[in-house]
Amino acid sequence: MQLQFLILIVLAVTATIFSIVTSIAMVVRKALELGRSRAHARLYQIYSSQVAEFLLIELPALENQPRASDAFRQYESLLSPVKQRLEQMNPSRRRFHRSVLRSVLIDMTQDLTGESAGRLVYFFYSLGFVEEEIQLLQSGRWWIRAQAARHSGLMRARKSITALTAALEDNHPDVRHQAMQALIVLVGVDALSTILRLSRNISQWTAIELSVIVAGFKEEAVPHLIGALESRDQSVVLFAIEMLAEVGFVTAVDPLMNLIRTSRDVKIQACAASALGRLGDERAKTLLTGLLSNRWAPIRLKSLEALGKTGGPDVVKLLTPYLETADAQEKLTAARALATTGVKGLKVLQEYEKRHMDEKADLVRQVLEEFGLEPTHG
Amino acid sequence: MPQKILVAEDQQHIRSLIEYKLKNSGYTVISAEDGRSALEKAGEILPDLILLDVMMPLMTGFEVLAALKSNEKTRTIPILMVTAQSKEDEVLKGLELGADDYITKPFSPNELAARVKTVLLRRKINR
Amino acid sequence: MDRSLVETALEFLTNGYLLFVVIYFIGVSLTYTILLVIAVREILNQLRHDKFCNFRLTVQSELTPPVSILAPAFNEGPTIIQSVRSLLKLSYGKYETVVINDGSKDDTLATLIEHFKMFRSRHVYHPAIRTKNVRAIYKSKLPEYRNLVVVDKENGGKADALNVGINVARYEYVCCIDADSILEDDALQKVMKAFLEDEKVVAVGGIVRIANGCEVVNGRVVKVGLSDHFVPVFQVVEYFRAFLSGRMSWQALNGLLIISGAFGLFKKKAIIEVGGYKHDSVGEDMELIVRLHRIYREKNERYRVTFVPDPVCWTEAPETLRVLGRQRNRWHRGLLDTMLIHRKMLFNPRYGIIGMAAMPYFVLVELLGPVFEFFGYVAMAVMLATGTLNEQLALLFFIVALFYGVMFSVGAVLLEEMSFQRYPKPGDLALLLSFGVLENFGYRQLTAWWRVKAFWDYFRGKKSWGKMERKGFSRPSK
Repeated sequence: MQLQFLILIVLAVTATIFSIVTSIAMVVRKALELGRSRAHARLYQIYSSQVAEFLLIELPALENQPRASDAFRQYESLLSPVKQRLEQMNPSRRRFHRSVLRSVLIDMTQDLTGESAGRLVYFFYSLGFVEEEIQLLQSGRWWIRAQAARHSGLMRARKSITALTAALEDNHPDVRHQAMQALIVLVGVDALSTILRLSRNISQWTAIELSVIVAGFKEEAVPHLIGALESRDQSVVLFAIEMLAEVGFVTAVDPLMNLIRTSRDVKIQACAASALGRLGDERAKTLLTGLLSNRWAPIRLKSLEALGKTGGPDVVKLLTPYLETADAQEKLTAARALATTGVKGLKVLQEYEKRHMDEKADLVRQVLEEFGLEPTHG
Repeated sequence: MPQKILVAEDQQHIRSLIEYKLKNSGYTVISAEDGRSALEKAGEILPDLILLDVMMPLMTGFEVLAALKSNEKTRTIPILMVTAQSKEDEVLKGLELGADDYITKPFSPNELAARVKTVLLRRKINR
Repeated sequence: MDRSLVETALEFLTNGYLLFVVIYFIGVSLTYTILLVIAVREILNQLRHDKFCNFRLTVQSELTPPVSILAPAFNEGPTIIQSVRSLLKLSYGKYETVVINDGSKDDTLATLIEHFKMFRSRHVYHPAIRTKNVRAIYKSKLPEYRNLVVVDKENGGKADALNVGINVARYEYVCCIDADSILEDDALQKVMKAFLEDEKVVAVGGIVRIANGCEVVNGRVVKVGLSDHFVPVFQVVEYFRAFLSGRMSWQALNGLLIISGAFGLFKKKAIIEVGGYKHDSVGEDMELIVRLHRIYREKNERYRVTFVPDPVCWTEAPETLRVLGRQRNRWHRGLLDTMLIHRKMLFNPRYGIIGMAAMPYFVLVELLGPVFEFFGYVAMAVMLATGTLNEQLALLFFIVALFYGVMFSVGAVLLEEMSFQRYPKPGDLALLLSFGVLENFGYRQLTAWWRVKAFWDYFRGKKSWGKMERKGFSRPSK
């Protein structure tokens, strides 16, 4: 008994002491980190002002028809003192300085346009950062690869296009997404087709990130999105439909109507119906009217909503009978759709409300209130 | 006498760019790193123009804008807002609150200098 | 020496029991170490992944799903306006704020109506979940508050209030919070990410941090710090244990049993499907999650319950031992209640890792742990009184108890340091670590006693919440 206890006690005491030592180590490390981040901030400030000067300083005007190499020579002359200083440092100091310099350059590239932005790209190449990132795209660790892809895009380094295209098929989703975004920046909207073609299982999150970029391209993105409607991947199709509705170009109407007719996927049909509504095109009305009697509730509801958005007097007549339905969800959607069509629809709602003093018109009163109209009683 | 410009911007790299460009264009530049110090400095030095970033810690640009407009001393100082590109509603809100003009990020420093010049000129004419 | 049979039996029992407790502590420490390692790996992975997520995009995109925030309020008179105003200022696309006045006896409702210029709305109330009576629904006349809805109802408790909120909520996702939770500006963006990245997710919890000692300006925490009082500081370390090591590890194993009532996001459809919050349970937040697990597993549907440590909700922690004691009493009764209600799942392979690992862990470690420990002290007292104290065993007991407490705390603080480092000053870190050690010399024993007492209270039929004091929220800096 004696010995076993002793062993256990010793173990427990050692373990406790170990924990305490770990704690002290944590505190010390934190204090050191604090010092290091202050040093980082100071160096950042120095490089920040230096780079600002390099980017904004007026360079002597070049002769007519200057060659690119003339401009580059000017930029190089700005950089040479910095490069020399870096050469003279010992390796670890050089690494620190280069990483701060790189973060300054990357931060600036996100907020600058104009001629200075062109100089920035040159700086990235000349200081060897572009080559470094291309190398890092081969790293064994996914977060290094992902960051390299991200940086390559930010650096506007066309040299990395090949490596980035390869990264589109990387194992790790984050690497793929960063490569996607970088390629869109570097190649422009034409990269969309390739990207949508290679994408599988786009999560809603990725869709959101892509959507902001794609929305920036507006009509130029439309042909690529229409192409993506034929994808076999449901998430890609849904994404394309949403984007077409958002970008809102009339050439999307026919392909979307076609999609509803040919697809057997309920989700896709409902989404396309909703998109047609947002596009507000008259041509879709017949198709949407047909969908009102579809056996799937989501499709019926989306069509009601969509018809409301397309508007027109015939729509008002079409939707009015739906106010009599017993299904609360349908009634609410129909009422909202009527209100969306405009003055005529609102009038219908008001008349309905006057006619029915009891709870039957409660939902209609709710909708009238939502659209800013005072109900007469209830 | 060179005109005084107060730059309220929390990000170092943007501050450096703006400072250099404006100094080079002949203005005197004072910087503030957050909303509170921007308000203090504005009250102290009464600059000829304030460049105000919308997204700042502690106090947002809009809160600073409102505070500047409600203080007698600083009410008449022209204000140029700096906003992120896709935020149209930010721009409208700022103009409603009394900003004179705005510039979106990413920006061109040349354009910034031009806008500053215009706003200052407009003020001089209206005096 | 002649000893009676009773004395011998007593000595045997107390010694045996103490030995059992020692072995129990060692077992728990081992389990905890495993959980800690899992938590470390998970957090690092998530952190790396988060660096590549541009959260601001969710604010700009049309594709971002809208959210309904549900804030049940009971007698929140002095602080309700400030809380609601800060909820209205969150950085997110489309969202609505639904405040449910659970039959407050003070001027909560009147204050809201007056300040936000509200009128009785014609919004039709659909009880998808059965609840107590709803008296009225209010909306604001002012366009800048058009996303605010206030519901006035008969008093029915937090669970019932949340169910009402769910019935009124317009959007697909509901965020259930406490009326005095301070959500960080980007909390909604970050917590929604969990849903957007994986369609199977039905519930997500975020981390709750302690606001005492932080500088709060305009309903926003601008500077993080530690309180002057010692009671909240102990709780900071406890919360690290519970959230960073506890929930992080269990969610990696798909066995997360609890999402804090102060900050949780759910798919509305999922809650309605399982019948809403249980209105007569003490720990309604945990009970709902366990029920979600149960029903989804019984239906054999794929689902996930997840925890994201990044989005933060700040909350006011009790500053006195008395209020803290009441809170812990209630929590433990809630835990006991939930485990009893769903005892069918315990050790039942039908419920996968929930039944075979998560629930047994909760019962043996969280629920019964304090009981075992408490009776360890009782046994020692008995041994002392009868003069049969086995010094070595007693020493071992104390040291193992100390070690297991210190290790838990230091491990949890380590996790915080590896990940979010919300407390920037090395001095604060040192303070937290020392409290983590000091905690074992009295504070932990006190919480153990409260939790043992909770069993007694529960079986005596005490099911209420008890009185919680309300203190205003804006804390001046020090």
